[in-house]
Amino acid sequence: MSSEKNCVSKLEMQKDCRVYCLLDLPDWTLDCILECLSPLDLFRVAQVCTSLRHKTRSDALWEKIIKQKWGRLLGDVAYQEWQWHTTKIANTQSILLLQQNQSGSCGSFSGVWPFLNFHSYLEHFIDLITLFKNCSKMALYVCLESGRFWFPVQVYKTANLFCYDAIVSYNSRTDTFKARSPTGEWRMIEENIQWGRLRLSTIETSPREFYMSNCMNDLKPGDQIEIQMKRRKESPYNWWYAVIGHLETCDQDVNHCRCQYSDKLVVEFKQYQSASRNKRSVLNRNRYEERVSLLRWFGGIRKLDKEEEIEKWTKLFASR
Amino acid sequence: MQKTEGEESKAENEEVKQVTLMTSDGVKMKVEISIVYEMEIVRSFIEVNDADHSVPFPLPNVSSHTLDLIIELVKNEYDDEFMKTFSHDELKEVLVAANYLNMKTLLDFIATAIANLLEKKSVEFIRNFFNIVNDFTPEEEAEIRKTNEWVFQDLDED
Repeated sequence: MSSEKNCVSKLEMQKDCRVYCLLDLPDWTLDCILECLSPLDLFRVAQVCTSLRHKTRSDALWEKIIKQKWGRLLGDVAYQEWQWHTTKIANTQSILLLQQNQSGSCGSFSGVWPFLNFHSYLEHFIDLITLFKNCSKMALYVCLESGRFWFPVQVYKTANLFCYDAIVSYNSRTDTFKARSPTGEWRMIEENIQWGRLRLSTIETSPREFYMSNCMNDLKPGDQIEIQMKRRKESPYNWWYAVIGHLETCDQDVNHCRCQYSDKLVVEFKQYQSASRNKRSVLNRNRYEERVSLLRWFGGIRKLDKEEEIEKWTKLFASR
Repeated sequence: MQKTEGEESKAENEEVKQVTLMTSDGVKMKVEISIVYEMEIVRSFIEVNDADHSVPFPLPNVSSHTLDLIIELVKNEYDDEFMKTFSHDELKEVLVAANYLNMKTLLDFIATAIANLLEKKSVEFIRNFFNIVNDFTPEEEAEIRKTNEWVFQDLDED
């Protein structure tokens, strides 16, 4: 500090030292600070005063937080369903009607309104109705973190290399999920599922519908695919990892191989032992749902062209 | 950094171009132009007018002490260790000044530092830090505490 500086009298310094109220700053300056805070800190800042309560509940703020942690798993479908639930709840005049059920969930997993019309479920929400109306993005975060919102995802089964559709609920204490299956009245099927075993549904087709793909005529030996498969006609499809193989008549020499042009399609499952009769299935290339054995119904095929999808299956295969 | 007081101005250093800034407490400070260029409010002025840099540019909202801190921060390329020596008042003054001078990098840096400071602090600490009066009615306060209980009922105590 220079000597000239010290000439400034103490009094002047004092006068200059204004009392800053941070609320006098422009919004975007304050937002810079709020954006750096964790959700827990934001909840605490909300208790400071009405103005900060309002600012810490902005949709823009929570949208960023949700995207950061949940963006990978929360698809458009789940988000639309969330909006559907909360709009319906906010528009329900009678709180009594919502409170009829003691759990505050209003209904059960049996599929009666308001909760399982689609593929998601919202439970224990009575206390959060005001939040739904006034700060819906923060409410979504709260419902995801506290496990109140069961939302649709796909779960990897490591042992057999397939994915099944489910709705999951998060447990922040263990940082894992539990899953309910759409079969058998949404019964609980798995707990302690790690983040790495979940993915966003890759297609919009329901697990009960045959997936129509436009890749069927291009499939050739070596292509990595996912194929719909189910055990019973009435069950939903799971997505199985497989590779397109060569016909038995083919010598597998690239110069002679005509497998790509055959009406038959060989699908190989490397997750099965080579002795298993499930190791290899020969399907019709131009077909609809196809039953190849007592407990094997095949549906549509999705060719994997994203490197990270193939890598994920390769990793799961190696980790078995 | 060089400072001059009124008539006692030293000969201008021709090698490093400087701009004279006049702080709220009447101190004239010569600041390297590379640092001044981070202050959008000054930059836009000197660029447009191709102004005579010997005429001090007034900064009625920034004290010489705060400007000192800002210049040191920029010179030290926003060094965390240096900033940790700041008092709470200094942090707030730099934030307000960064906002006034429109210094984007500094603003981000100082906002992050303040956020870190507020991390896991009590509501009362935050109120004191920002000079904010609790304007909740007892009912509202009970309501917001209850909301937080709902939020955290499944979470561990922090």
